[in-house]
Amino acid sequence: MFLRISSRLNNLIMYHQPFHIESCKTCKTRTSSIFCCLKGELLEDLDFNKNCLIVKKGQVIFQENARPLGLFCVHKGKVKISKSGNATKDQIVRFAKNGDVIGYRSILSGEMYSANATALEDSELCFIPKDAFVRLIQSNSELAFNLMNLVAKDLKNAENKITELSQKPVRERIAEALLMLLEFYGTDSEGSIDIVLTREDLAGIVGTATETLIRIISDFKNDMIIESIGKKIKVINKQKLIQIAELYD
Amino acid sequence: MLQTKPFNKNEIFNSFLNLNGKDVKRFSENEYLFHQKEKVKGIYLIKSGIVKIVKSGFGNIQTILSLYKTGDIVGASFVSSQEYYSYSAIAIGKVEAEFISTNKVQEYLLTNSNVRLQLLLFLCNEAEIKETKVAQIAQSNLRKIVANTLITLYNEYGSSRTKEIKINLTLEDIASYSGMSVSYLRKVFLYLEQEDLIKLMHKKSVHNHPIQIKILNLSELKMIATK
Repeated sequence: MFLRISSRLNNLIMYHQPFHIESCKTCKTRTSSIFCCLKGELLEDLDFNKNCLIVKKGQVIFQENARPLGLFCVHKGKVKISKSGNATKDQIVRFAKNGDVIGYRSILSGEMYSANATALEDSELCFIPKDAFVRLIQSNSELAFNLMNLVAKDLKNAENKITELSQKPVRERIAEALLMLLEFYGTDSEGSIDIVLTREDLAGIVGTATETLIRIISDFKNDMIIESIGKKIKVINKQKLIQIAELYD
Repeated sequence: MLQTKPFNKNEIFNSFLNLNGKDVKRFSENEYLFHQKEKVKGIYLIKSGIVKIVKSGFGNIQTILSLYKTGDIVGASFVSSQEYYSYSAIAIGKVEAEFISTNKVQEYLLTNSNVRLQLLLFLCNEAEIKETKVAQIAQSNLRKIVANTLITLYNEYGSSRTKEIKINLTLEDIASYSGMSVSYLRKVFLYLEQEDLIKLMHKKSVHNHPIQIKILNLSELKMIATK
């Protein structure tokens, strides 16, 4: 049974499928999130106010320029955050996995969502309303510091990305993107990078045309650096990929 | 309903300015406030002058990530737990700044929830600006990128009276800030000059010499930037 809740403000539509709502007190994912520091009353406050939902692969969690109602914590799944650069193409700026929070910046600033969040696979999310989140941030300095670290990390990644786009040829950027995905998502049981991305999405991360990406991925396969199993990519020669990426940081 | 505060750069700057135990530091042109990979010591509140934030890649190629001026805070993203500066900060012209050590900043943040929130907002704003720039560089054509760069520089450093961008940047700096090579930037500048959208005050820019730019048609530049 599905309960459809449509946002009173904009195009945000959530499909709320009842499932076992785990308590924040026993949630293992919480230990790898910014909320790991919460205890006692504050943890109960979080637990009381959160709502859980399932989103399907490809579903938009929130859209750029929509009014934020709260933030989302990824309980299980994978999400991409993208910005609309030009009319036809989205630029992926980062990813979120188990334990990551998304949509928090707009909550803090009181502005509209500045990016789109889309599920890359069927995912379970915990929604925390704006008031509850702001209350927690103001009451707990450790949570605020955890959030500062998170923003600082996003900032550093964006700065690295700008440097990379300005300095590195496409081939090196593709190698670096594959290594980044490998580090972020790890491997599945078959040894492939544990995320399914379209070639278009991958081209979006790198900042190149899809045709160019396909050509270079093909070169990597011919050179036995990677192999593809369906849409998934398996890194065979990681050292070679690191050499190509010319990682400096 | 609890309200978050809108981001107010002056408020966070003034909060730190009122802190005791600061150190006034003066830098001359091209002097480093700190180097990339140096251990994090603290933050700098810019009281006068302009600082460029530069990241070196493989082969020591440098990219200008940001420009900071009076009223800006440099190094704020490192105080929560970063060990090393991930970029360098270099003075463009003379710079006067107040230095606050990491320990002092952390002590202050622990005891002041309002300043913590303001600093969070400051960092969120910085992250938004950078991620937008990623999207721009990755997807836009050169003309659009240069138009965006000129508009950003004009908004921050432009004179509404003379229409000039009042900051000492070389052609190499502007190319670096735009994320492109100098030769591409020269070509785009040439076309923008021919279309009477900008005027370069020196026809032949000398290598590593500051270049002066006058904006002749801001609205047309904005149209190029948003097309």
